[in-house]
Amino acid sequence: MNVHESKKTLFEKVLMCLNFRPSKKTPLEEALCRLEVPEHGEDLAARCLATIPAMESFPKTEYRTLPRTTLKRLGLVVTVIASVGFWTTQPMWNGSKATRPESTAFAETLQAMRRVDHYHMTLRETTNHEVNKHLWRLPQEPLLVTGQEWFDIRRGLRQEAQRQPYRLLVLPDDTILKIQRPTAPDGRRKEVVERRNEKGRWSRARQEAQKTLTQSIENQMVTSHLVHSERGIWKGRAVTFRTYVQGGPKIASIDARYSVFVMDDASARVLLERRVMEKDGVQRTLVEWEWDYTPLENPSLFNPSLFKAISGTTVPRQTP
Amino acid sequence: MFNDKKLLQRLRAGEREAFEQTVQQNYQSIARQLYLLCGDFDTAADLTQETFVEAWRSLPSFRGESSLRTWLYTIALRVWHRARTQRPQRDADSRPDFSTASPENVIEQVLRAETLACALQRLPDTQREVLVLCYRQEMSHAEVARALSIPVGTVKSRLHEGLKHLRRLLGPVEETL
Repeated sequence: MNVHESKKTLFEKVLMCLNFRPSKKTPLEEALCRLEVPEHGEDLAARCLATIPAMESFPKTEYRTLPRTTLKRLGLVVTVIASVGFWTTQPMWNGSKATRPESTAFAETLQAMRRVDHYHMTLRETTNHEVNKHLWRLPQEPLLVTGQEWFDIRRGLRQEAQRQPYRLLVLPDDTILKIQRPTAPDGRRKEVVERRNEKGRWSRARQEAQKTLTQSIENQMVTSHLVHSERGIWKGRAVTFRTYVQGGPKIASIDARYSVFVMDDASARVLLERRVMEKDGVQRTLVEWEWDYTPLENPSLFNPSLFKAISGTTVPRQTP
Repeated sequence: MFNDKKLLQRLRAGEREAFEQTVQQNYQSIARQLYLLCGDFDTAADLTQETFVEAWRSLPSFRGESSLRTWLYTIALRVWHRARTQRPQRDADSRPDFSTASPENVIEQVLRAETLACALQRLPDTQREVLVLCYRQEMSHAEVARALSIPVGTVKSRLHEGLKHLRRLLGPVEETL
């Protein structure tokens, strides 16, 4: 062994120690490296960006889970609702903007959603669909209206829930009218009628609504596993999410739970449905939120003198 | 790596432009990886979209120990693993077999069926993913091992088996590559 060979061997040993080997690829390996595959168009980048929520909801630690009580759902809904009012406040898509990249369009949509100034939300549920926190009982009944909410930035916010009889009216002058009736009156628990004035209440409610408007949409996207998104511009597309199974007892006949979120430009409505699919392929809608962004035509909804208790008693207006 | 760190800082600061930049820079390679793994153009697009949603969710837990690109490849792999259990697998028998093809037919099939990509689809998932990550995505053995949670030795053996299997599937077509 001469000096040159010993040096070369040493060099190779060093390279081996560094886990480095000169590239000696076979033709097959080379072919794998430069393997040509069909290229996706720019539309795919736009699709990817469209499903990424606005940065305001940048994930920090954990995401909120969807509230389960009717009232919480109503609150949640408010968030989403306000958001989509952009259709009635200022249309985001017209013919000239239809070719705008999805990412830009969606970002603008979210911005517009935060400027919503009126809506009517209707919550429909099947009865007894929720047995406990985790278990869903497959319903055979039709969807029933269990909650409604009206928001008008000039007049106020009104919420009603049927399952746990409840009414709330918040006016721009910070007046709060609240009526709550026990679910099962037993003679000891009475209907509660509350009327008070809380400084800054309207401002907070409004800001919260406008701030949280898009959170439901964003949470729906971020905390769910996207299974399908139709191509095309964001607005008017149907987006389907499969929600993660949260654990707990499962119903053997249910194959999947998922949510469908649809924005319909033509009717100025947004629909969010939570569905289950049974193993035989039958799909059932368990809960449905519908937001209508057409102008509210009944100002008496926010008239405190017409705000009646659930039993029918009118709550008189009192100057704070 | 420096640019990655800078980009990651911007991502963590909540700059949407940073995420758009990440998507723009990586969506093609992610889509390519997923196409080679799943063998379907539209499914690859859907999974690419899911990959970025997943990446968005996982950003806070990304410690920057690997490059942003490798991290995204790993997420894409995870998304594919999950999709594989949820979506029906394609029938392997419907995929072209080149091992018995005559040279005349080979040329036609090469043009028609993207020979190598189709042969890749006939490999077991475990071998295909290692080949795609190591060769097409140029990830190191250590990175692939980390992404798949397997020892480096297993990566090497799967590579070896995968190439052998691929040669067997390609038959005479290998010479035309």
